[in-house]
Amino acid sequence: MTGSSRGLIMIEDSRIIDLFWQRSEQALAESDRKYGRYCGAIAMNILGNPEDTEECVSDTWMRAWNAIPPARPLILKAFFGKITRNLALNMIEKARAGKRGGGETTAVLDELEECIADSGAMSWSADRYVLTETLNRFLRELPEEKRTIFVRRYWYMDSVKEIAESMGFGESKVKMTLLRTRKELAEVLEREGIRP
Amino acid sequence: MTGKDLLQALNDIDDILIREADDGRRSSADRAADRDHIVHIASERKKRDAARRKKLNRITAAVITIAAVAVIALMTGGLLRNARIRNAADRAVSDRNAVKEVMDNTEANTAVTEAPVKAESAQVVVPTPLSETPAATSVPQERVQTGGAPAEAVPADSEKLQQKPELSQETGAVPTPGTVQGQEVRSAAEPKYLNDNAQGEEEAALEAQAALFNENAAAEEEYVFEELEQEAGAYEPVPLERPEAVADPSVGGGKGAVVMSGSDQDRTVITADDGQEYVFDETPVLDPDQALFDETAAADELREEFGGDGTGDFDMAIPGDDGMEPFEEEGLGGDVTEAFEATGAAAAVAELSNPIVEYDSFEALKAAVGFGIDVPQNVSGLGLGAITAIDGYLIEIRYGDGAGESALSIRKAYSGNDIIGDYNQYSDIITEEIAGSTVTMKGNGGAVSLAYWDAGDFGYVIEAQSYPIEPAMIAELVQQIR
Repeated sequence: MTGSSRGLIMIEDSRIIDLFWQRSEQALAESDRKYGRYCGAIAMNILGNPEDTEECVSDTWMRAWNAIPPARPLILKAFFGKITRNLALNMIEKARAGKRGGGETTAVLDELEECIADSGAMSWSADRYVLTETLNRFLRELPEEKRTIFVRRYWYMDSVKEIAESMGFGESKVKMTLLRTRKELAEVLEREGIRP
Repeated sequence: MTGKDLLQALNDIDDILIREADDGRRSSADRAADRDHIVHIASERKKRDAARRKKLNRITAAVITIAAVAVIALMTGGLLRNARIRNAADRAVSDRNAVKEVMDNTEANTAVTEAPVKAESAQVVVPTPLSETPAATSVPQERVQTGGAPAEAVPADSEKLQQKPELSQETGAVPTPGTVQGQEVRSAAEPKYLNDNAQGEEEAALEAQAALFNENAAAEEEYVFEELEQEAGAYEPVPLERPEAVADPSVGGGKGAVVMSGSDQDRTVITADDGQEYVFDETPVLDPDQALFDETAAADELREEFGGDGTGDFDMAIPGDDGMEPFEEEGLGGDVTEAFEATGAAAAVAELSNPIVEYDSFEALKAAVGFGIDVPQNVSGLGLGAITAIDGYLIEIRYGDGAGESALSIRKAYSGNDIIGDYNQYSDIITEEIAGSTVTMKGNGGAVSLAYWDAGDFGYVIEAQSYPIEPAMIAELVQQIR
């Protein structure tokens, strides 16, 4: 959709996507201009250092360049965010050979392992698809406030302090909310047969 | 399965959930980045707007020029038509006078032939012809007609006959039927021609009269056909090029030919094929000193609007610097300006303006459109943006994500108007009964990008093409939007 919003006109996501489809390098510049900080924040939360973050964001645009076309993302921001997050997690895995560390990653992993038992390697086709769909259902049924806190903590890997400050809560409330949500998730995963 | 797997699996959750959570985590740095981006986009917008305005100016100039030419052509056609009508009227008057003259002559002759004959005197009375025509005054007595019988000369009584007219005129006696020296003499009720010449002249006059009427009728018929052809567009307009000097009236001779000429710009001379000249002083004049569109002022306006000095992002065409000829509006004169407006050219120019009008409040919107709309202040994390009306009949309320992007819009108009505006193909199409209305929802992957429904006299649309939302949210919105 085009149009003005009180005089503020942003370049439309659809136009950026069109630039990708036209194989115009301006697509990379526009993507970085509009979503560079967004992706950088995600990478920084996971990797914990600016150099790796910059590399991760640059790789994000190249991944997008290879993915569009044929892809035509519905929500470009989330599309870029997912690439960045995936790249950052892979970089952590490769660089540290399985060592934990980097930003909030260690703490996030510790917290998530509370709600899932180590049952060996999972297949990345059926099992992961089932897990993702279960997560989607679980999150949609959560109240918006709890959902936002959960996604910010485990998808964006924001610190508890950042979440508390931005939402106007105390850290303890955020921690308590996360704890309860993890327990609910564990029950859902168990009920679905994903968690033994 | 490990916590790492869960972390990876989380990567593929719905985009909507990711975006929703991001709405509340925008840092001041992010907002600053958005502002930078907005400035960048605003700069691009300035360039685009300047280019559009420049193009619009050229289109406007072209439209006005075409309209002016059309008006001049219409007026020229009108002048020619008026000239033809005047010419035809003059000819009609002339013909009528000629006919009247002939008829007067005829009546005079008839009066002569119907002059009273005194039966009592048993003599044929030949009154003095009233007509001034020599033929009538010198009617020989040998031509006195006696009914259907061949006229016979009456030499013996010729003197007597020549002496009697004065008596007859003086006495004014009513003639009665009788005979004059054995010849039958008819009464006034049975008019007889006095002689063959009078009869011949009468017949000739009648023939001339008939011929004249026939000619007039033919000319009138031809004129009517020309009028019809002209109205039907078959009439070939007179070229607008005018010779500097008065043209030779014989040029283009032939019936109905006129030559338009004139060395002055404020008068037009039309010469008919009969050589008569018609002068019209109301010829429209294009005053080159008066500009229709003050581009210098427009450039100043643009500079003021965009805060530039005119030397930066946009360059406004100044008359003459890009080959554009200055054109005029006020200098066209009253008639032309009215005609210009009457032809709809002004409306066509007005239609080039932006159909989207933004309002500061819902009250102002309602006053302008005639109906209002109730919408929520926020929709799924999006804040209320622009309040607009499109073409004066359609309300569009936009919602943004705080980064200036219009991500969702709600539209309302009277039922019957096509206000959907999104004709993408969606994999999911469902209809639900919500708040008494049948709501059609379209989208992909379970998220709704488009919803529309009718309620009462109005139709409503939610367009969230770039910001798909959940069906449950659509249901809430349908109940809130009125």
